[in-house]
Amino acid sequence: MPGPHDGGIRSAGHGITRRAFVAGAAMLPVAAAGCGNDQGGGSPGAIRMTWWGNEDRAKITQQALDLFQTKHSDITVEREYTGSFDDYWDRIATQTAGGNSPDVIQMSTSYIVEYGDRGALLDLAPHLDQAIPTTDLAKGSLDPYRTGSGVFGIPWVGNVWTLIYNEKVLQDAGIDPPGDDLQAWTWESFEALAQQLGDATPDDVHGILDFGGQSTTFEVWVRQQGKALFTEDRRLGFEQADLAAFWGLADRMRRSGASTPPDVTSAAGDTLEQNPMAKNQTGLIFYWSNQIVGLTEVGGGPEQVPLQLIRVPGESPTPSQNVHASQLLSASAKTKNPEACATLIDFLLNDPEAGAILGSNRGTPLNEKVAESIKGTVEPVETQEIDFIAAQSDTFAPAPAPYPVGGGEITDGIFLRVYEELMYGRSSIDQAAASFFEQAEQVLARGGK
Amino acid sequence: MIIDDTEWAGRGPAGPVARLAGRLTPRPNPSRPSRGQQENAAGYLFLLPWFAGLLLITLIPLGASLYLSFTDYSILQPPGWIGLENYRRMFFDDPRLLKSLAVTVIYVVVSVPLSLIFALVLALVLDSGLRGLTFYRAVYYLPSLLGSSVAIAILWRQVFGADGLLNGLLGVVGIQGPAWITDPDYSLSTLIVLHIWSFGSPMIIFLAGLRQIPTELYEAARVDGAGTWSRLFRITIPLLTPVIFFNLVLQMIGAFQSFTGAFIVSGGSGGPADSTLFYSLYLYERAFTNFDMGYASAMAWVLLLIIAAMTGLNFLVGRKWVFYGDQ
Repeated sequence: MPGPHDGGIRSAGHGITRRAFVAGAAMLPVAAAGCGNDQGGGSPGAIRMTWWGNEDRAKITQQALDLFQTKHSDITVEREYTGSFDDYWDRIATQTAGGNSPDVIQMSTSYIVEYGDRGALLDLAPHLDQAIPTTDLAKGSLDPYRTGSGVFGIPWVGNVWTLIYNEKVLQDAGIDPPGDDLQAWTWESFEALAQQLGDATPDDVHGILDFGGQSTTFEVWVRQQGKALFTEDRRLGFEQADLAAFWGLADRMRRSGASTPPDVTSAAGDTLEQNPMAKNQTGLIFYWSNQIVGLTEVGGGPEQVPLQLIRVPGESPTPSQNVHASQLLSASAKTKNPEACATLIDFLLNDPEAGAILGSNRGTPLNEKVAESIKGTVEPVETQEIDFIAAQSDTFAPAPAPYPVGGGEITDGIFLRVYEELMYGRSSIDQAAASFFEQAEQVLARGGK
Repeated sequence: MIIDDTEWAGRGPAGPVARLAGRLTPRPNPSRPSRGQQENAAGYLFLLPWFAGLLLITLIPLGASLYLSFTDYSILQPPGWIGLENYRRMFFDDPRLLKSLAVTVIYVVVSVPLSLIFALVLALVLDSGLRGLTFYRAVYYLPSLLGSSVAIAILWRQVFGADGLLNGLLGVVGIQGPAWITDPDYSLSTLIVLHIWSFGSPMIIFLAGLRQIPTELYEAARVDGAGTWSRLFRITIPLLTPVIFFNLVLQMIGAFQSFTGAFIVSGGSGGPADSTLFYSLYLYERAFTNFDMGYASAMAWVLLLIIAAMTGLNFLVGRKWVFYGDQ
């Protein structure tokens, strides 16, 4: 092997060292350019918007954003969307942690306090009534979101957690839908109806999608007794006995065949495509009123899947249903372009043309003028939702306060998981209620961690 | 003429002539690096990009994660020191963590041995001089390339779903299969099958190990009248033990950290009823869904300790059964 005495290698060694150094130095800027965050799209006047929803919602949202871009040619909107509600929040958390949060965010009441209190959202108060007029918003809809530290989201659309029934399934079973009499429509008559449906339909069709894991149905139950899910001082607003009674009903209905069996319930998940209602495999479902639009589209149209909205049972004497701000519009606290965000939020909230494109896929627009103006232009199933809310609003209750920090984890995580233990026969009802209380109180005590 | 003086200075004939010669020859210049030092410098320079990566991507985040494990960090707000509270909570206040450990351990204990047995059997079959060996080897290796990918996991969900391919096939024979993915009794089994399906990479390593067994041993055994099974258990397996050990250790370490399959197949929830809640999946949920990054960091370090302890145990026990040919 040539040693250091060999002049040839020595000079080559010299050359390699120099070449290596130059090559190394040239690599550094390339490597540096490869890392780093991508904030706000790079050019001024470019903002990113994100939302959750399926392909149909994505299509119309893209259309509305294209219209925005033609009206405001100095602002471009990059779009991101996620199909599943749960995955959306994982993504937002990750992006916010990485300092890479989108500029305009479709927000939910379950999470607005988490993000708002932790300083992740822009305070929109300075923009209200200037860049973002709010005079046409339904009375009182903005009040729950005016917190001491600012306004972190503006309610955009509203919906109602209600009961949807499938006309086709009911007709095939020869069963009449419930009438309008609130006093006659009790939980007992509801259970009887679901039982009849379960008995009269073929094996793969059921009376109702198992609702035991739906915390919002439980909220209805609890509010009808004058209680609430959460109190103002961040504790649970109900007793174990209330939960045990609710789960007792769900459990009974599942065992008797009125509700869907566990594997169907689990497969339904939180995407519309897997929902048995879209496949005419269930007669009833507790769901958000705007999902009547999504389910109909996924099922192939109102001829394939004819759906109707009715009130939840037990609304007399104490109603619980309320117009819930299903989605709000928020902006990231770290946005580089707050004015453009405000302009976009104003467009989505107040512009009737945007309202016409977006329809009531997400819910009824809370801007009353926009809601009125779109009735003529949207699909009949969307008008159904707007009319239902308008007709029932006299007997609605006021909306509850947004959930405290940790509320989202309790309602979307713990509630469903504990019910799954019950559903699969791994826990008794009392054990499940106790387990839920233990876990929920832990989360609330930790300030929602 | 430049002489490399470092080695020759001081050598050669002693005496005044030498001393004169010494004074006339150029002395080594301390400010100019020697050849050896220059080559060292080149080495370090080549090492620099790798080392920068090690520092920035591995060591610094490792240190940050250790620090964060002693804090309460909600991602959106700066971390606050809470000492050993995360660790205390892990072991005394969190039944889901223990459940996730149980699920992960069951997964490792069942899927790793099965996967290795499968790989070994196939390696033995393929090594017996089959025609088209190259083709079969490639075909059996393919799943392990794709196995931990998102696409395959999504496919798995389809195949094992309530209305999926498997139940369709069973239906042809008249068997009503359960809803594999959404039934807590069977969901973990689908993930175990997914792991076993990716047996290709240990199989390739076994094939290489089989090639290294000297054929003279087999011939000698045949001459002595040993049958096939005898040859297998007295020659092949003992001489393969280093390779088996290697695969065992690596597979166990990998299986403990398994994430993608569980995440996709359960839809991110570890369900139903936490039956597929792998440790790393629970870690991810705590970190990103529940804004509990400090706790998740503590979980990550505990996982590291568990894997280190288990690997150490493997090496200890391995001294008993692993036979290195030169002993």
